[in-house]
Amino acid sequence: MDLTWSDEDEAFRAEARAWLSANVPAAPLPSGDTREGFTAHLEWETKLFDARWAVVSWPKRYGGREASLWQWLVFEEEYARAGAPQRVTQNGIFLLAPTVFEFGTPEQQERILPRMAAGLDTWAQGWSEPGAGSDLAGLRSAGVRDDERGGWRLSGQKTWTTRGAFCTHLFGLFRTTATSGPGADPAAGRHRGLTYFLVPLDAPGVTVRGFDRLDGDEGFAEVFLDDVFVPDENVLGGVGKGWQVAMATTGSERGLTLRPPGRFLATANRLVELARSVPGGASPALRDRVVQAHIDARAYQLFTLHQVSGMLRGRQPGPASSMNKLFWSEMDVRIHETALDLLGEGGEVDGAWSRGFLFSLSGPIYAGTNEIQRNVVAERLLGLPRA
Amino acid sequence: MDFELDQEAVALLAAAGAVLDAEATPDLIRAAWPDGGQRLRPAGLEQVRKVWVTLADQGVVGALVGEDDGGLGLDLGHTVPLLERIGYVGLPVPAVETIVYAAPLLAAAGHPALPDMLAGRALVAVGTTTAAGKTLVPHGQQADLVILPEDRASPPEGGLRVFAAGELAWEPVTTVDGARALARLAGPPTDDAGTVLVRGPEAARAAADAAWWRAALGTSAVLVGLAARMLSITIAYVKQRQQFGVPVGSFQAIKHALASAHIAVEFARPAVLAAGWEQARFPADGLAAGPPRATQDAQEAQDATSVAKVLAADAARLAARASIQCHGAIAYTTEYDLHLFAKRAWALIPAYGDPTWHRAHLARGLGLRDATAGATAAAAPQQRAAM
Repeated sequence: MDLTWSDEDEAFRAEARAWLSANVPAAPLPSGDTREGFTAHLEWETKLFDARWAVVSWPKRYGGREASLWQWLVFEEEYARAGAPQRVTQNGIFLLAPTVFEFGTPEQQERILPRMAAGLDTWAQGWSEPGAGSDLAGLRSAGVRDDERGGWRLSGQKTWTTRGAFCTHLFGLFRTTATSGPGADPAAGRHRGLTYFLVPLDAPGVTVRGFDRLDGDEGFAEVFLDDVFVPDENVLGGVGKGWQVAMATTGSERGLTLRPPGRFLATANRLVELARSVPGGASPALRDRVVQAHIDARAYQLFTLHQVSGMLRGRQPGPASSMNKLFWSEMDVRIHETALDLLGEGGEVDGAWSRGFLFSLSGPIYAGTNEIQRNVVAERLLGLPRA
Repeated sequence: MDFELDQEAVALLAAAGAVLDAEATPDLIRAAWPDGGQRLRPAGLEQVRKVWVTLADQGVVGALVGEDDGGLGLDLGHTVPLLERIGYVGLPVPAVETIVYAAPLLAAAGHPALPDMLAGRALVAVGTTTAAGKTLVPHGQQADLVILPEDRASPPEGGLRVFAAGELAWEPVTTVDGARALARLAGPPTDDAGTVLVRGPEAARAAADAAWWRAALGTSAVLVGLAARMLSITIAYVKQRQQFGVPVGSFQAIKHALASAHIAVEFARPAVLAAGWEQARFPADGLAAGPPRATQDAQEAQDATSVAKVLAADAARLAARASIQCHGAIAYTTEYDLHLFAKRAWALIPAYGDPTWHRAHLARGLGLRDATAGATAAAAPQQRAAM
C-alpha cells in the first residue's frame, strides 16, 4: 500500500496544473447548455485538444497522451481544482468512446474517435423515450431492415437528450427484432432485440426540438426520427447486441469515467471557502454539514482510489459502479443544499451555487435513477432476490 | 499510488482469521456476558481467554511491538484488516486497547508485564473520563492491567502510568453490551500504585495522545467489522424469511435500506485503511522508535483518522438501525444474535471521540470558525470533552 503519487504522476500533475492555470478562462463561460455557451465551450474544447489535454488517457494517434488511469484521475483533479469549464463533449468522450474502444471495428474507431476528440463531432445520448425511462428495455423506437441500401430505417422518439439541440450526432438504442405482432420473435426477449446505432443528427428525417431544463437552459431535446436511413457501418457491436453494448456504456456513466473524485473535492473545498467567508462564522449545525461534505468527498476519493487499484489488478467494478453513482449523486445534492443554507436568503440569487444546486438534482435521476441503482446494489452485490 | 493490502497485513489476517473463524462464535460472546445476577462468569471469561491465548500464539498481540521485543514489528496500517475481523466476530476482549493502545507503550517502557501480554496472559484496559467526570474502564472487570487517561497521583507527576488491576478500587457497572465488562473507578489510586510508562508531563501527554489516535483508528476498524457482520446476518435472514408468499428481501423497501447501509460500510472501509496507512507513515512521538516528523504530516494523519472514525461510526449506526428494522420483531430479542453486535457498535461509536468530536476536530483544521465561540476554533485548546 502506498497512497503517494509517483514522481512521474506528480510531474504529470505539475504539467497539467501549469497549462490549466495559464489557459483556463478567467471569467466563467456562459452555460454550455445554451446555444451561445455551447459554441464558447467548443472553442475551449479545441484549445484543450490542441494542447493534447482533451482525452489524456487515449492513444496518441487520436490526440491523447496514453496516460495511466492514475494520471487520468490526477488530470481530473487538477481540472476541477482549476475551475475549468464543463466538458460539453463528455457524453461522447466518457460514454460513447469507451464503448467504441471495446466494441467498435477498427474502421469505426478511426472514423469516430479522432473527430470526437477534436470536438468536430459532438455526441448526444439517445436512451430514454417518453415510455421508457428507468425501464429502458421498454423502448419502442425501432429499426427496419433496408437490404437494398445496406442499412436500417429508424423511426421513433428519444427524449431528455442532453444538449441534443446542439450536438451533431446521437448514439442510441433501437429495437430491431419485434417482440410481438407479425414476424415477431418472442424468444428474442425485450433485452435481446435491441441494436446500438450511431445517427448523424443532420440525416433526412431527423427533427430535434430543444426544451428547457429545471435550470432554465435549453439543455434537453426531443429527437424525432421518421424513417431515417442509417448505413450498416453505423451499427456498433452487432445487430441484436445493443443491450450488452449499452450496459457497458451505462457502467461508464455510473462509475469512474463520468464522475472522478476531483470534482467533488473541488466542490467541497469551495464549500469550506464559502463557510469561512460567513461573517461571524457558520452556526455549529451548518459547520458540521460543511465538515461532512469534506468527509464525504474524501470518502469518495478513497473509495475510487481503492477501486482503481483493484481495476489495475484486473478486478472490474461491475455492479459496484452503482455504489459510486449513488454516493456521488447524493453527496452532490447535500453539498449544494449546505451551500444554499450558508447563503441564506441570498441563495435564491442566480449564481454558481444556485445553478449547481439545480444541476445536482439531476444526478440522482440520470444514468439510472437511484431507486434502480439501489435495486442493482441489493440484487447484484448483496444477492437479494428479484421481486 | 497503490491501495492493495501489504503482504504483512494479509498474513496477519490469515493467521488470526483461521482462529477467529473457528473459535470466536456468538456463543463465545455470550460466555462473556453476565449471568442473571449481573455477575461475570469466571468460566465464560476463561473460555474467552483461551481464544485470546491462541490468537497471541499467532503473534497478534505483539503486532506493533518490535521484533527485538518479541513482537512482529508491523505498523498500524497492517493491523486494520485484523481489527476489522475482530469486530466482525465480536470478540469480547479489549483488543484495540491491548494491541494498539498499550503494547507499543509497554514495549517502549520495557515493562515487565510485556512477555505476559504478548503471550495472551495479560489483557490491558484503558480508562476514559466521561462528560460527567467519572472514570470508566471498559473491560476493566476482565483486565490484568489498566492505563488511566491522566495522572491520578497527588500531587500529579505528569507521568503516564499502568496499574495492576488489583491496585485500583473499582466497582462493576451494568452496561447495554454485557460483554463490555465495564468497571468504574471508585477512588483515585494510591500514590505508590502503578508503574510509570512515560515520565514527564509533555512526553506523557504526547504518548497518551499518540496512543489515543491509534486507538481511534483501531476502533474505526472494529466498527466497520461490526457493521459488516450485522449486514451479513440481515442479508441471510431476509433471503429466507417469507411473508406474503415471498422472501422479504425481494421487497424494495428492504433492498433500499440494506443497499444504503452497505454503501456506508463500503465507503468507510477504504478511509479506515488509508488512515492506518497515514498513521503508520507518520509515527507519532509517543513511539520511542518513531523518527521526528513534521507537524503538518501528523496533522494529516489525525485528520485522516477523524474522517475514518466519523464514517465508520455513522456506518455502524446505520447498519444497526437497518438490520434491526429489516428483521422485524426477531431482532428485538436477546435470543437472536444480532443484538450482540449492535450493542458493541453502540458502545464503540462514542469511544475515542464520537462523530461530533471528530467533525469539530476537522473543522479546526479546515479553519472553520464556530459562531457560538466567536473565535476561530483552531485557537481552542485541545479538548476531548466527548471522551
